[in-house]
Amino acid sequence: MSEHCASQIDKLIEADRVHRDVYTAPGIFDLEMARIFGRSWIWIGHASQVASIGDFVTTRIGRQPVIMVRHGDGQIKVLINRCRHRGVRLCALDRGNTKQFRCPYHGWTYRTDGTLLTEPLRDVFAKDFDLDEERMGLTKVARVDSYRGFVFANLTPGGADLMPNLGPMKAGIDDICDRAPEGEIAFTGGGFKQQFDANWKFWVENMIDLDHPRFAHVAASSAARGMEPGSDYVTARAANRVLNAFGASSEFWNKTGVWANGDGHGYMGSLAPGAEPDGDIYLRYKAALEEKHGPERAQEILNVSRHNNLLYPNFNFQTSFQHVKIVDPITVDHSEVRIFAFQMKGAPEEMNRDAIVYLNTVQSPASIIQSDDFDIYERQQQGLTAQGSDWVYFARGAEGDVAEDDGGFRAVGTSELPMRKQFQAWRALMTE
Amino acid sequence: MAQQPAARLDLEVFREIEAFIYYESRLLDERRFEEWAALYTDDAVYWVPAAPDQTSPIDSVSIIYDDKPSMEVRVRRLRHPDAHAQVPPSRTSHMAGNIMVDALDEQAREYSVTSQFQMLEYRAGRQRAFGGTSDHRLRRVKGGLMVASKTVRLINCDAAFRGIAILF
Repeated sequence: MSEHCASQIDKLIEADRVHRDVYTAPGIFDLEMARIFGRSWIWIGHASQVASIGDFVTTRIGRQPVIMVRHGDGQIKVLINRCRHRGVRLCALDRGNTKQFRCPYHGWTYRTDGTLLTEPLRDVFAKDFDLDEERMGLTKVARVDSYRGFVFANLTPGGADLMPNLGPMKAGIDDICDRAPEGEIAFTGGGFKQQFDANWKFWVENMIDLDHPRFAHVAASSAARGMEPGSDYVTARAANRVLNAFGASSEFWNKTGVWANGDGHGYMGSLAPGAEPDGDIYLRYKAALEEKHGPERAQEILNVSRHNNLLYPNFNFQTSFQHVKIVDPITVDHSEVRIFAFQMKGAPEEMNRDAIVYLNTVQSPASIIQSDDFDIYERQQQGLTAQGSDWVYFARGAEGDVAEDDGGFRAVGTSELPMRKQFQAWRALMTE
Repeated sequence: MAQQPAARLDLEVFREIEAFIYYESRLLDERRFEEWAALYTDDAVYWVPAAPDQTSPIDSVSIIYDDKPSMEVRVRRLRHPDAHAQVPPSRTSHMAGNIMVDALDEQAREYSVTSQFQMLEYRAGRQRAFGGTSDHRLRRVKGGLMVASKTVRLINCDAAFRGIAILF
């Protein structure tokens, strides 16, 4: 399939199943880049990554190389990372600090707001060649907006603004920030990158797939069973707490519950709904939160029950274990994932360190959890080369979706509601 | 960072250390993971930093930062029939070289050993290579040697990795 019109795409998506072409057809992938990644709000970074003037990080919107940089006026700019002259990717580093971006090829130089500062041999360009500093500056992304430090960009001028698109997911970002006693998080703590030979959507689906742990992660959870909690900030401390959950029964996962809406966004509830942690570290943390907000508001903040949030199409952020991650589609069957730790400002140091331990255990490329997930994505891609059985099913729990006042739907944790909603959003974006 | 080799190290001790480093590689290549973990002391730490300039395993994430119980969990997981990332299993070839005994702490009966390693891994139709520097702290225990800590600095530690199941 190389050409797909709206009616053809429509036929790929049914209520509880999707055609394998959505994962395997290069033509579909190209359309996704234009219609999904070209028109959705894509997470770019966090303000704390570019705290000082001149700080930059490089990232992607879909396949497009992008720079996020703090300009001299303090504003964060999102620029396409491509020299206007001969197309060189201007900035080759993941992060750094700079006064300007100079192309290594012929020296075209841009200010950190993207305007063209200088190009050598200016006087020998044709008289009518436009060297206006704005028009020949770095291409700006059509729309940039941020919420509580989370910076998003959209390649298309038209369409919904960020906040209406976030909708009920705004509460997820609030939850992340409000839980920090100072009301702010900081992206310190490092991160990981991973890659796999499979379509990006397999990763997205797995973000809120609560019936996979007891099969996909049985080796890790059974290996960790009976382990004593460690006392130091190495893996054992987290293993006891975390790995056991991966082996929990479907009843356990059902209680967490899932929510999703027609924009493809979703979240899952807390792993232990209604149960408040205890212990000295938690009590010190709670005291810090109460000191800031008073006991009533502090309790309200702690009562929010969201373990994990998916912002369609490709951004996942997790409150309880303090990290965010994003999948970048590279080709129809190759994807990259970036994972970033964040720290809660004002929380006891031990809590932030615990989050690091969790990430080492569960999110590292060498994680005994994560490596099994990535292997399975690749096996999904391999399996879908099979012809004749063309459908992929998301029928689990299909009759149990309950409409909510916020326009979303709620279901038990093991329901495949989130994937059904992801493909409802996918179809809308791909055919509009 | 570069240190002079420990002065007056007995050649026989050097040979013993060299053979120990080779033996660790061999146990991993032969998938004798339990015997491999048994080379480590109960207070051992196995660390693979996630950034080339990473100085602390506490304040930022690591590819691996295991204590002994966690190493044993890793081994039990590798033995589990449903460790999907090892079906089929990896075949590896570890090569250690440039072994330098940097320091000798007579009091603690510990040697600081630096070596270079390369590991080829073949699995499921794909071969890949890892390489970098290993820092071993080897402790003299009951006449033999054990690993009190190991830090593995991969030259590509901040790359986008495929899943890693076998240790370095």
